[in-house]
Amino acid sequence: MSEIQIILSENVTTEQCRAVRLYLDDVNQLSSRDWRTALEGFDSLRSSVVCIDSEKFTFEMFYKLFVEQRYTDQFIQRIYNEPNLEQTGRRIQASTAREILHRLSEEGLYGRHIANSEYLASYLLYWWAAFAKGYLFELSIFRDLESAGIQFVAHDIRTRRGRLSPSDLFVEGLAGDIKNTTYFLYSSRSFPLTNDFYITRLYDEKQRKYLPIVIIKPAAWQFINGDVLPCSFQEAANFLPQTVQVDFEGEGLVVVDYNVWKQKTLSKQRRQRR
Amino acid sequence: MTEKSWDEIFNKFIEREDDQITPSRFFDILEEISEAKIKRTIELKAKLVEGKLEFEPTPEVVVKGNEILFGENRIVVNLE
Repeated sequence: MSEIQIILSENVTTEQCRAVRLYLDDVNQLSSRDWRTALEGFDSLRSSVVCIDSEKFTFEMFYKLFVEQRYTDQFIQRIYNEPNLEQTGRRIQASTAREILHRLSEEGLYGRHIANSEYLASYLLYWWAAFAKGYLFELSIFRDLESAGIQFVAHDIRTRRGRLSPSDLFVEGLAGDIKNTTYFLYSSRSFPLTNDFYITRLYDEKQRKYLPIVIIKPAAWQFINGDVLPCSFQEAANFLPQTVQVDFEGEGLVVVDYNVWKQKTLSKQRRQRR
Repeated sequence: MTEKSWDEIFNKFIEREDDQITPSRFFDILEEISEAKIKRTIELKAKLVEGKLEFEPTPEVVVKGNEILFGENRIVVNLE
């Protein structure tokens, strides 16, 4: 029987632990501050450590060994040509998550008997969900752009190397990234937004469906020839689906309806082909 | 009310759809993130001297007349 110990990083605060638990339990209960704290929490957990006998792994390393190497290529292969992407993908994502939790438990890495193991499980399940939901969304966008006739160059999501590229696609020489909403928020907190545009989505409660949006740097939006309405964060939601510009960390970010962006991009590409 | 176990929380999370983040919630979180990254606010006072803006010296940032020296940047503020 291996000797197992899980040590949380000193960066992990009690407040972050509470927010992580709340995020996993019921996302609708989170205040905006809780959201930020939960995202900080998943970041801080990365450097926590799993000790198995004399070996030590950070949570980040452990995710690579325990989850990434085993499930990610296989997941992408199974969904890549899947016509019923959302339903099948979600089913595989959930069954894989159950398997991850089961294996953790079987190998003595999750359970009441081992302190902090709930945070190791939280970390692995969060990142697995971010991976699987993120690529399901990305693939659905690639398919939609193809069917709309937009010319673009995409990274190859079937290889790890391709997936690690800094941009997911290039449209008209502009570098873009496709992220589901939670991971876009995580990235905007943890990293500088280096791409020219980001495709993500928001949930419309009235229509009960996700509405894709494009978050684009002002210079890139000008290149596509679009107008904007500058406004505050508080006003922005009311003005959508008009194209708005908010100030994020001293830099402008244009938020545009995905279909408007597609239409303008397509028009530009058609004009160039003439 | 008894607290939910982690098993219950994980089982619910595993079955959960993608997070349903509404536009107003999204912009609120983005604002929260943006503000949290700004570690401190420095207030500068200025007056008009012969039609030109002049910042009052402050120990927190280097100012010179209508200029603010910030890291490798020189910010020059002109009145129109």
